[in-house]
Amino acid sequence: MRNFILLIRRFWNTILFVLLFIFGISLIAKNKSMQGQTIVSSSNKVVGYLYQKQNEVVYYFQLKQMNDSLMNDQSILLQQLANDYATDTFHNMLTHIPDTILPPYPMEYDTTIVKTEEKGDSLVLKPIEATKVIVTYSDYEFIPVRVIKNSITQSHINYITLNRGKSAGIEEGMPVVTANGIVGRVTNVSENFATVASVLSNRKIHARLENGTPGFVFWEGKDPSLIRMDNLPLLDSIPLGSKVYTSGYSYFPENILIGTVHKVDTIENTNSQTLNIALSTNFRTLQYAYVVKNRKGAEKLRLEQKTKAE
Amino acid sequence: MSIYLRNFFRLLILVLIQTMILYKIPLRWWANPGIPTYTPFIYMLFIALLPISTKTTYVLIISFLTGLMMDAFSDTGGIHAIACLFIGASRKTILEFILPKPLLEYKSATPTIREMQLTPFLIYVGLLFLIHLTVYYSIEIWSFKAVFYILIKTLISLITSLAFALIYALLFSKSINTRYFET
Repeated sequence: MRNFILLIRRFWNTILFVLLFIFGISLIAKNKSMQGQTIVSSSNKVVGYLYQKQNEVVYYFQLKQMNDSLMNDQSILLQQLANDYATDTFHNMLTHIPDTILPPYPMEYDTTIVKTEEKGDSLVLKPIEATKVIVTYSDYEFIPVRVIKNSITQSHINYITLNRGKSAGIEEGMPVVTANGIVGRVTNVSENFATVASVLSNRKIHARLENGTPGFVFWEGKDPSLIRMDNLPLLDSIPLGSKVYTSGYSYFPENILIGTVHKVDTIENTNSQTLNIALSTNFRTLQYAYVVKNRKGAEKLRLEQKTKAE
Repeated sequence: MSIYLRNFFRLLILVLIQTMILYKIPLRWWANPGIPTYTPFIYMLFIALLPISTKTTYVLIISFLTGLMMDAFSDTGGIHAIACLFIGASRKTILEFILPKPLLEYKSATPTIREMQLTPFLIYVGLLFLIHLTVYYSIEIWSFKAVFYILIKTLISLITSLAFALIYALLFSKSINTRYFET
């Protein structure tokens, strides 16, 4: 026993080194899995507070840049609105929504059915208390957040820290977007802060091209403004500059712009094409984003889990 | 100021410089035109500047905790912690190799430029940084295919880190000028 204690005292530093090393390795392994709840993350109180204070100082100097990007985003939204105005509504497109799904969604009733009535000589249009209505509701709720810490140098997963957390309704697994691009997915949430694994990570995202070709996009780990899409059939001719959107199979809402095709590589070994896509989100100047809350998400998840269990 | 307090403040300053300023540098486009994105690291200087005769046990624990703190700031899990652990382990050997007298005779002196001249200081800090960055980038990139990439990243990062470390050492050393008057 005495010898054993002497041995430990003799090699105490080596033993300590090995113990700490193992502890560190286990921390890294935990962090590599996306769902890993890590203790050491920038969404904890002290680190989050420091980053927020720093952001409050720097925020002022970035106002000009931010104004420009907001103007850009607004023009994109206005464009979308203008596109919507052009659609015609026909009477036969009116839908009857069953009462059962009414309560949870905000609704607008449009009494668009009109009846012509004769009043003296002139015809008068008179709206009817309709039983059939056009209902507009949104599946998604957008929570505006500010990016207080950003990183593009890691080669596997880059994490972003946001200035809102559980108290603003953010939960794990929620997608994060900007007005004209995708940002990432929430991994860790504390009371007032959240960390996001950004698109600049080795996770694949299901996407589709403008012409409908599906595929996975992923980041290579080098250039923060490029993302790649593999294994497209050679016969598909893809023009440069065609747009790439998220598909409904990804965790992002459908039809959000990812980027535009920047370069097409033909790989003869596998008879396939690889697309280099220029991201529409500029991760270098990212300052604000929106966390997307899916109102039907919980229901979908419940159904999927039930299906998996069976 | 007591030696503990001085080291504590040094840690505070270095961590603040690292997280508030140096982490922002790679975000600018002019920081990496055509070369891989890199980050200059400076916080390891805290481990390098611990008093010379600190026991290895304490150095190991302190460096691990420092690394863990940086991990919290940069969401890297435990990569910084392990890289710092390697620094803490190799610090004593490098110091013995560079300094002329046995380490215990230095008591609570810090290995600054004033204590050990500019060139030995640069070699000492350069070696420590090299170990840290090699371990850090190897674990972070973690693939044999990318050996060349790891080397490039380590090299760029090392050069910039050393430049910043030198600036820090020159700015915050109390009496660098008195040395010139003495000799």
